[in-house]
Amino acid sequence: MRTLCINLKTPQESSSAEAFLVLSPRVQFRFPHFIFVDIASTQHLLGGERGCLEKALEIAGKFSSDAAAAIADTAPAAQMLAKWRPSHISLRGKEQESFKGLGLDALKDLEGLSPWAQKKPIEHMIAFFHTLGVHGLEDVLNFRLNSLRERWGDFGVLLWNRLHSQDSQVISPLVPRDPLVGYGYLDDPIGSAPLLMVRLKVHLDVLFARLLGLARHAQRLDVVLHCEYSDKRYNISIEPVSPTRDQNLFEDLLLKKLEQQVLENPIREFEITLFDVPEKIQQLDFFEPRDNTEDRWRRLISFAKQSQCEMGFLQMEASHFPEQSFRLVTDWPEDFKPQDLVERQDEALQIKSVYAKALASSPRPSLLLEKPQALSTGEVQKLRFVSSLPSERIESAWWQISVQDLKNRDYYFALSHQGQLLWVFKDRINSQVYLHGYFD
Amino acid sequence: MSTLALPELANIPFVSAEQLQPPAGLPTGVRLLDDFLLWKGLPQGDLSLLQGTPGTGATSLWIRIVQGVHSQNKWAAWVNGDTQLFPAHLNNYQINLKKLLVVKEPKDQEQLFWLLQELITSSLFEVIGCNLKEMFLKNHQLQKLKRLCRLHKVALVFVNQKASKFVNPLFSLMIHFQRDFITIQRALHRPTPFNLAGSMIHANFMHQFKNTTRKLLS
Repeated sequence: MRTLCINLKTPQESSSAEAFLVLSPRVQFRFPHFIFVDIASTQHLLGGERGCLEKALEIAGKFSSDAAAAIADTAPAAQMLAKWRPSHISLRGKEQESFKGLGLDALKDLEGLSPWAQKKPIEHMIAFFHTLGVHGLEDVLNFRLNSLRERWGDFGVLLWNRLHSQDSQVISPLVPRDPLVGYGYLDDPIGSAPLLMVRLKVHLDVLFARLLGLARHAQRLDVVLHCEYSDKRYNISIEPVSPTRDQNLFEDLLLKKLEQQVLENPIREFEITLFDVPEKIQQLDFFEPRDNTEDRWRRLISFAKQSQCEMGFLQMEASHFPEQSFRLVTDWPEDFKPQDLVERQDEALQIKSVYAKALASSPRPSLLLEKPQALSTGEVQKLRFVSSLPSERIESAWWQISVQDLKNRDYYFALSHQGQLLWVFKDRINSQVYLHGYFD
Repeated sequence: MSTLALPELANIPFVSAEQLQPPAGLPTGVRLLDDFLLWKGLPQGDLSLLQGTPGTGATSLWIRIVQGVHSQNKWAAWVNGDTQLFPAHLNNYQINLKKLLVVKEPKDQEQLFWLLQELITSSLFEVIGCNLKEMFLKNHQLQKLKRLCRLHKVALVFVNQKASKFVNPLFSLMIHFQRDFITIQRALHRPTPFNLAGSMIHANFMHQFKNTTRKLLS
């Protein structure tokens, strides 16, 4: 596999990856500004790897003025080289030779599609190598897998794999879904057509680059200009005779229309919408998979995962402790049925008892704190308890009780002086009151 | 001298009362509130702000909207703040957990902003709720979210724990939840502030609570 990494250096939207579809269908965006392209099977169409690299930098120039790119066998190495050796192409199967002369700081960029979960372990690793007198990346290559595993466990193994091109990260084909729209908010309102055109051009560059990547033509361009001192809007629509990808034509037409407008009331924000059509009329493929909801949420969850944000569905679990009674899962949650399972076979009867059956009918707050929050005596005195008897008692088996675990609780409803309805519990062992949720 | 030619009265395209449609909204199920608001609920394709200390009912109102959205077999999303949404509570409201995407508390402001944009542009959700400790999004970020919401017809609802008296015109609807009543601080084309009794929203928000009280008393 050969991977091209483009470092755009300024945060971009994920839709920017569409512009690079001219290089290969296998393109992936990684938050905040990296684009990975698998060029193994397409580089010969663009005049080899050098041609590919130049084409990529030409497209990247529309997004960022100082973009950098590099080619290597794997995504992590390509990302590292894009930062430390811009425009470098490593030898096929010998990407380690390109590491010569690089400092240890380059390890921080050895990430690829999945970034380091935390920067701290890698910084610790670099500091440790320095204490050993190892200052160059090629010296780290001499360490054996077992040595790294012994010292840093899985993290060491991952690093060794990435250094020795063993961490295969697959770049999937990109399915474009984002609408072709642009939006700009001007900090200083503009009342002059040429100046406004300069600000619009940045967005048009990006939109037309995406259009080229999608292999489509623009049929119509709509621009909505919002005025600063009133709700007035200018709607400008440009529709050439035939669909085209000629950006200069659209820009000329737009500038002419802008000059006709009286912009006494300066422009604060603008919206651009591009309506696209296929390049030529083609027979519709009835077997082509259509975009469905499942694709969309799976794509969202994988995006969030890449930028280290947890997203998913709430899966209920059979546990009577509230904080253990659910978790986030990245797949469809299973139905939670708090009922005993009764199996009958001929004359035999088997009952599988299910935990936490009463959960469905017991009152639960809408918001739960991740960890119960201890309340001071002053705070407890300010609370008005709805009943003197607890509404519920939750405890673990007598042989598991320990003070640290807070597994012996009497739950109450309480009202704060601000009118908040709270779910609090009193730990029966140390009599401390904890706040656990809000009936919000 | 040129004379201005006025069109004939018959040619002026008047709109009849039947043709007038209110802008799209998501009903809250609280009749008084829905009747008062222009959208007959929360505005779709716009930003709303529900504010008040946790435990005063803002999340309940959001859950009521999701109930309506799920009854139409559509999707909703929720971004957790320092507290998390509790599914045992949602189950009692017939909320379909398979159509509710939940996001854990984002690391920082930038990530939250990016995340909200991704959620909106996915065109998957009718309503997105976002629990915040305080409103830290800048005006230009709110502007961008508002524009995306308008484009994708999504109702973005911020549930803010720290109430502010400043009425930000970027929100089409602002509701302040207080001890005994809720105040509509801003609603497009409606006279505000407008007060409602808090019990309107709280009335049945804990139906199982009633039974438990009875059990305790007997």
